Amino acid sequence: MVSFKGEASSSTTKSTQYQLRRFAEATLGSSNLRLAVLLPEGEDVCEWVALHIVDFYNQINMIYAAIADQCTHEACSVMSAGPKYEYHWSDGQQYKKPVRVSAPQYISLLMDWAQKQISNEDTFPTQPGRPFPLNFLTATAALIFRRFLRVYAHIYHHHYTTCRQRSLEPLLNTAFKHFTCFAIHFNLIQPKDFAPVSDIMVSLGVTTTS
Amino acid sequence: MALDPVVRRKCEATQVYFLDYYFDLLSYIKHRKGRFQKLKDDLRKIQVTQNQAQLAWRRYCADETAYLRRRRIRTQEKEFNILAQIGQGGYGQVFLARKRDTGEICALKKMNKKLLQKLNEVQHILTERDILKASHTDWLVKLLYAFQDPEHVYLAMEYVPGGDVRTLLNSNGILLDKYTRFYVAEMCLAVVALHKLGYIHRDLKPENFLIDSTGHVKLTDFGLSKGNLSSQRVDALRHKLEAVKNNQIIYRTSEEKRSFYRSLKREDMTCAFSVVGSPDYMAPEIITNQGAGYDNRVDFWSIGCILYEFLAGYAPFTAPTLDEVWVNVYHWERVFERPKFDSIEAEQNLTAEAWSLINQLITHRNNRLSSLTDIQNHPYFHHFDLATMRETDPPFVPMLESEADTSYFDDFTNPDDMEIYKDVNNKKQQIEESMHRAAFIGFTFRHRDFLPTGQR
Repeated sequence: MVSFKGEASSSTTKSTQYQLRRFAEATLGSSNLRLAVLLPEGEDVCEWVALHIVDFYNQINMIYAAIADQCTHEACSVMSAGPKYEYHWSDGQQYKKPVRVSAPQYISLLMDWAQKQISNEDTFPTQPGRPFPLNFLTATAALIFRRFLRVYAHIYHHHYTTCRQRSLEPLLNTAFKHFTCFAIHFNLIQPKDFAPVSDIMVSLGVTTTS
Repeated sequence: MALDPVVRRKCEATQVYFLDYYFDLLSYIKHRKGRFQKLKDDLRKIQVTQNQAQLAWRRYCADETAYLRRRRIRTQEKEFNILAQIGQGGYGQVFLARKRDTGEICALKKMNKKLLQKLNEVQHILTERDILKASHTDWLVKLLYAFQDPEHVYLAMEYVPGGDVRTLLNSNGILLDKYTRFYVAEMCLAVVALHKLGYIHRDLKPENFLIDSTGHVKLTDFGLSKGNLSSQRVDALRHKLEAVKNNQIIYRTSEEKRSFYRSLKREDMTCAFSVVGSPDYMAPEIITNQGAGYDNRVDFWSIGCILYEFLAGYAPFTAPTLDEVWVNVYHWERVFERPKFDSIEAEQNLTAEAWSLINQLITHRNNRLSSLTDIQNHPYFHHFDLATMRETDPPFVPMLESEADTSYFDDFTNPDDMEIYKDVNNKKQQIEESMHRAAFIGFTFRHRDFLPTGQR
């Protein structure tokens, strides 16, 4: 996975470690996330979006890893989000025409593809002064967001019980809420693409009507 | 229904990841607002021209953006300058390296993913990462970064420059009693620090105890710690033992043991490739107590064996072949004996207190000393206060040219030194197999020191 962010500092003492934990626990699921997505003063929107793509990539990777044993070729032979929605994989290169693949295959291809985008200095510049491509938001970022949404849609429709059994439900809901709030705020996903998860978004309070 | 331990570990890793992530994100946003406010206040307080204000504003924005970009950069091997090779093991190499942007000196452990999978060691590496990450104590080596690329996983660890405790042994392979007391006391403290984190090491060897730049001991290499000795490994150990335990015990004199022990040590390294390593320091109950289990007392057995080795010049159950070592550990009660010496100095170096301590460590686990209180109360440590060991002056402090000095490690530029690693390299090349990408999820880690100024 792509690395980013620090975890517990080596110098943190046990009690601050504990406070830290409590603080983070309290924020999960709260409405702070709506404020957290706002562009900080003076920041370039591309930088902010790029950073969050890396964050959301990591979050999806972590959640999916914790349930991947249930998402098998046999149990999930197609990449779907309930009975009404099915996704076929195409990347315009190796898979020129959309192909029907199993959910684990689809998600693996999707995450590999996303990682490739993120590590590409042309699409995700990291060197000082190097600008983002002009179509970063409308093309690259929008496509990544749309595809990430499908992984959430699949998990909600087919692995929600597993998430609950493994106490991952609050994490999944927080991550998804954060992701959708961000996508809506920066207009990165078209309303019609939210259709498979619109009920979930209403129940999480992201949107008011489906 | 109980969760598979591998799945449970992934769930726990995910929980921790999210808590840390949101703590990080929210503190970042808060601090960034604070920095913005401070800039505004500063500009208001001091009279500045419009140009100066603009300049300050632009610099503020550039700093913030640079920080966001740094957060996006993956830690990669190319971000480290390799300074020297300091180790060679079954799954890869250890390098002394300097991280280019921060200048940190670290021991970079580079491990081949395919080999780790082939040898069933993925779980061990993940556990090692977890322990290193959780360790906030001076007794355990710290983890600075963990990252991966398609072929390798990397652990960038705090560099401990003094070599391992074996480098302390004199030309006779013996350590003076006054030094032994110090190092064994510190080794006990390091092992207890690991136990406090909820782990048992189970495979302690002298190589696991390093001397840091201040001369104190640090424990490293937690790959085998409790929770991750795979069932395959345990089975392999038991089969090994079944096959040899009825072999005849071969009696060897101390002199014999001492002489072949010295020639053996290095060849042992190739054993890193077999599932079963040398049981020289391994407590017998790990393999004989089928089903009955074992606990952290096994690590005190190992310390007893290391203490014996310091004073005798060879490990108590040593033998010319691994099979023989197995037999000796199995029949430890019949094999274990006081070493004999060829000089009065060496004989006197093994004091009555030391021999008493050895006998209370290399013994049945119900009689074995197994807590800091037990250790502190033993007459051997009469002159030490274990609670303040790290504040005392160690008998030896490595003389270092610089923080990147490797003189206490094998020289990997010397072809003779490299010869002993030839078999390791050959075997490594033989093993080729595809691997599963999900196996290393949750591995990546970056220590928090890298927050920008004002945010720590």
